[in-house]
Amino acid sequence: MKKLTALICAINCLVLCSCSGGSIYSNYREVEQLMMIQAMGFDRCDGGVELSVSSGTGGLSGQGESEGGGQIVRMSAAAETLLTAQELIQDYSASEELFFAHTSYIVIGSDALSDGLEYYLDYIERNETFRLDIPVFAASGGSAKELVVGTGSDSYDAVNVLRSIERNLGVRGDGHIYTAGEIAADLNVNGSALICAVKTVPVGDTIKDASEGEQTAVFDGYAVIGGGRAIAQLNAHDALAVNLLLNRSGPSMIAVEAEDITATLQLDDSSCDIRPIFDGDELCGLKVSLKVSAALSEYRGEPDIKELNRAFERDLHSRLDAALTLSRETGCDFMQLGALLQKQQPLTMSGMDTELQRLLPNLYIYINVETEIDRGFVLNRPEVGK
Amino acid sequence: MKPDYNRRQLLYLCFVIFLAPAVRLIPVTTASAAGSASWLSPLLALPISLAYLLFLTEFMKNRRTGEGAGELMLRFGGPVVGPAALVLTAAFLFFYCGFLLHSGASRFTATIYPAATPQPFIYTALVIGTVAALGPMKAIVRSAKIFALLIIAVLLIVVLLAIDSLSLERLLPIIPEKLSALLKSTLPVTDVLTGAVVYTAFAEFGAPVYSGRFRAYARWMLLCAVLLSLMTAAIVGSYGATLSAELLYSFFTLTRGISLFGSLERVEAFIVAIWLFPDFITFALMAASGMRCLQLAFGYRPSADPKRRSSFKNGRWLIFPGIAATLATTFFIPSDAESLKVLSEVVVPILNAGVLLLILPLCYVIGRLKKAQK
Repeated sequence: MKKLTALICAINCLVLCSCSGGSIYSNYREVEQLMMIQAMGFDRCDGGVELSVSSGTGGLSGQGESEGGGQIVRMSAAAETLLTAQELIQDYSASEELFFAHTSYIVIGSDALSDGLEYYLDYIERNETFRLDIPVFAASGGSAKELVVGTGSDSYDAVNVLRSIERNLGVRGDGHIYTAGEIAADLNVNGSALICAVKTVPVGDTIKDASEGEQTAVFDGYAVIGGGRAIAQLNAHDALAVNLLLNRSGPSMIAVEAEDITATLQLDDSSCDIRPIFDGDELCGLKVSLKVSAALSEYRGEPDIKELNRAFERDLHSRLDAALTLSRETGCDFMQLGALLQKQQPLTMSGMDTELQRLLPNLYIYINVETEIDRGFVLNRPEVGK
Repeated sequence: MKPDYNRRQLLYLCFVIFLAPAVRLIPVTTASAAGSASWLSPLLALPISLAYLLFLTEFMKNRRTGEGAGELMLRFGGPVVGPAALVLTAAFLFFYCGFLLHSGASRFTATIYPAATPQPFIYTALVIGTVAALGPMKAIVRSAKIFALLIIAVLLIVVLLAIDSLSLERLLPIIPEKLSALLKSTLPVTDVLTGAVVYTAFAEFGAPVYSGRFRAYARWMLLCAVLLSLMTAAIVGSYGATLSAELLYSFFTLTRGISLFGSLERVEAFIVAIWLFPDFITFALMAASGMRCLQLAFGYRPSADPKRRSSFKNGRWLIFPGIAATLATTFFIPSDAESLKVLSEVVVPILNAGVLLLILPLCYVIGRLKKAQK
C-alpha cells in the first residue's frame, strides 16, 4: 500500500509540475531557444494595432555575446489585436521562442494614446505575462515603432535607451516614469493620469562614432491623459514642476539666467505645501508654497546671490504655473492633487480626489516660491598673471 | 494515552486553513465595499470574530478527551438533531472541498498556466487530498506547522518588498462617511476568521483538553487580522481600491511585481505553488472531518488514529459518498471566473454562515436546554 501511495503521489507531482503545459515559463523550452523581449511598442494602424518588439542586447538567453547571444532582434507586426500581432511576430521569428515575461518597458504611440488608453492597459492587466509595475512611456508626437525598432544601432537598442532614461530620471529626480499599475490606479480615481513622454531624436554629432541616421530617445515631459486619452502635453522644461509639487524631486540641475550672470543650480531640498483657500464653505482657490534650497554649481559672470535667488524663484514659479495652468485648462487633475488635499484635510476636503478637477478651471491659484541658494560660495581667485 | 497533537499545532492548522479563503476574498471583496479604507476591515472584523470565539469557547469547554466539535454536536444535539446537524455539516464540508479544488485550479490557470484546463489540477489534488484524509489527523496537523512557518515568511517578504511601491494617498484618509461601508466590508473577514477556528475544532479529538482557548485563539485572530491588514494595505496602496477589486487574484498580481534588488524577479509561480499547501491541508482536513461527521451521524465510533489508510471498516467507507459529492460539485461548478466569483463571495460564505450561526448554535442550545431540564 505504501508503494502504491508513493507511486500515486509521484504521478500526481509529475502532472502538477510538468505535464499540463501552457505555463508562463514558455512551455519548458530549452533556455537557448528563448528570445527575451524587453521592450514593446503599441501603435494604432488601419484595421487594428501594430506591435513592435526589441530584445535588448543579450536577448538570446543562455548564450554569451561570442556565441551570438549579443545580437539584437527588432520586429514589428500589424494585426487586428495585440495578441494576434504577437503570434504573427512569433511566426516570422523562425528560430526562437519569443519570451515576453521579462518585458521591461512598454511604449505607446501618440495615435494610440489619442485614441484611448483603456485597451492597452486592459491588455497589460489581463495578460499574466506582464507585471503591473512595467514602466510605460508615451512616444511623443510619433509612433512607438519608431522608438522601439528605430532607435539604437547594432550594439544597442530601445531597451538600452529607455533604461538610460529611467536611470537618469531616477538619479536626477526631474521626472517620474509611471508604471502601468500607477496609471491604471490614477485613471480609476478621476480619469486623469500622466505618462512619461519620450521623443526620438537623431544622435547627430553628440556621439562621435554614431552611424548616419542613428536615433536615440530623450525625456520629453509628460503626456496628459484625460477621459482615458491623451489630451495635452507638459513639456520637458516644465515637467520638473510635477515632482516639485508632489515632493519627490531630486538633485536636478537648473540653469538660471539673471542680468549679469548665468548659473547652474543643483536642487538640494524642496518641500511643497498645498492648502485650500475657502470663501465661506466654498473652495475658491489653492495656495501653493514651495521652499527650495539649491547649491550654486557653476556660474559665468558677476555672481550676485540675491539676484540669482530672484531669478531662481521666477524660474520655478513659471514652471509651477505652467503645470497648474495646464491642469486648469484641461480640467484634469492629472497630478492627483485632490487626493493629496483629501489626505491632508479629510473632513473639509472629502471627495476632493474626484471633485477637484471639476472645480479647477474656476479656482484661483496662488503660488509662492521661496528659494535659498546655499553653498553659494564664490571663489576669490587672485587674478592670474598679476 | 498520549495526545496526538497540542493546542499550538492546532493554531498552526487554523492559520493554514485560513489562508486559502483569505487570499481569495481579501482584498477583492473588502476593497469593493470599503475602497481605500479596506485595509482597516480585518482589524474592524476582530470584535465580531472575538464575540463568536467567545461562543465557541463556551461550546468547546464541554469537550472531553477524544472529542472534537463533531462529537460535541452529536452529544449536545441529541439523537435527532445531532446526526442531522452532522450530516448537514458534512454536506457543506464536502461541497467546500469541491469548491476548493476548483478555486485552487483556477488560481493556477489564472496566474501561471493560462493555456491549461483546470481538470488536471482538480483531479490531482482530489487524489492526493483523499489519500491524506484517509490517514491519521496528526499527519495533517503536524504538516500544517511546517507549511505555516514557510507561508508566514513568504507573506511578510511580499508585503515588505511591496512597501516601496505603495502610495499613502491610496490608503488615506479614512472618512467617517465610509463607516457603514467599512463595517459591511468586515463580513468576509469575519466569515474567514471564524470559519477557520470552527473547522479546526473538528480536529480537536486528538488534542488534550486544554484551558485558555479564548486567549490563545484571540491572539491568533489578532495576528491574522494584522497580517491581512498589511497585505491589504500593500495591495490597495499599490494599485488603488478600484483596480484591487477588479483583479482576479490581487495578491498574486502583487507578487508578479516583486523584485529582490533587481536580481530575482517573477517569483509568482513559486508563491502560487506554495499556496497549494494550504489547499492541500484544508482539503484533507475538510474531507477527514466530513468523513468523521458522517461516521458519528451513522452511529460509528471513529478512532483518532486509523491503523491503515486502506482500512474502510468502522464507517470509514463513508468517505466515498463524500468524495463522490465533492466530485459531483467539481462537475457542476462552472469554470468561468464570474461564476467562481459568485460562489466564492456569495454562496460559500452564506453556507459557511449557516453552519457557524445556525447548526452549531442550535446544537449548543439544545444541549443547554437538556442540561437545564436535568
